Amino acid sequence: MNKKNKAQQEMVGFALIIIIVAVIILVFLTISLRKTSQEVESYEVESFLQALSQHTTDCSVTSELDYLDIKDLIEECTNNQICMDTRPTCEVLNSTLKSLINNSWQVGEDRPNKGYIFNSTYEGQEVFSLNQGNTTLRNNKGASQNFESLDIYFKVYF
Amino acid sequence: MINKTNKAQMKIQQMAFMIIAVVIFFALVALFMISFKLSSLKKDADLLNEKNALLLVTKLAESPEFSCGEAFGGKRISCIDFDKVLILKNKISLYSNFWGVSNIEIRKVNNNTSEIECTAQNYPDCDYLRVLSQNVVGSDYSTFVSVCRKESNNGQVYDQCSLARFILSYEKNE
Repeated sequence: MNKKNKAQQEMVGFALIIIIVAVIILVFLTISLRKTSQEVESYEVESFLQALSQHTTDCSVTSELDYLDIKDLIEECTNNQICMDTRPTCEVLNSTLKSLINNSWQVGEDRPNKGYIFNSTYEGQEVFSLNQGNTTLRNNKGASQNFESLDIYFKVYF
Repeated sequence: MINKTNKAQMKIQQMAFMIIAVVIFFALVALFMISFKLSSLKKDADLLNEKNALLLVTKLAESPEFSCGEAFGGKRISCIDFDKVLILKNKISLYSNFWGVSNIEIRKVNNNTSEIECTAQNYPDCDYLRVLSQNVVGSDYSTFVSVCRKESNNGQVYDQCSLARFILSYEKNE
């Protein structure tokens, strides 16, 4: 009886050691994995947003040669302004952004980039958003730019 | 006596097996951890390489020879003065070893299928400008920039900026 008890105690001790080691490994793994999944900032996307915001469009709202850049066009779209050539600013913004993003980040099932999300908010209110392709993938890179009241955000899925 | 010795030997054997099992278990765990760490190290190294290359591209794009400065109203980031670069191209022999890169190219982001190289004659109706070309095979790195120029219409001058890629290549030292 005594011998049986001793053997049981040994078994319980061994099981405890294994459980403790397994828990330590699990904690270590979750910390490591969490660190890697947070790394989504991309210099390439950041430079894209900086350059994109400066792109001159073919829309002006005040005088004929005062063409708006993307950043100003988003602000004008918030106020539902109309361009000098009678096109709505939001329509120009939509077509210009689609063309620029699709030519810069070609997405598709057989391409390295599978999808993207573009989002802009003015004073906290969403002004314009655009997305294409598969935007549910875990691997992605993104960046945001802040211009006083305007925030633009872009994320590419691969 | 023999029975007791046998029992002791059995105990020692049990202990030895137990120690071997524990050592193997910990060795496997250590191996798993090392391989996990090494894979993340490789990822970190790749990320660092990419970061360095992009920093080099950005540094070049922001250098006085390329950057817009304050010519287009205020300080612009990631902005290249296309008029300035066209002039620079004519004097590029003086800069061949200045930046330590083999090729520098500015390519406009548009949906044109044509491949027209920019010259003083066809500018701005063109697709790309090869600023420096030493015909050396190397790694290509690029960043997005805004290419700005002064346009005129009926005597009135205005700024025109377009999205472009600033591409450079250099021989990689492994």
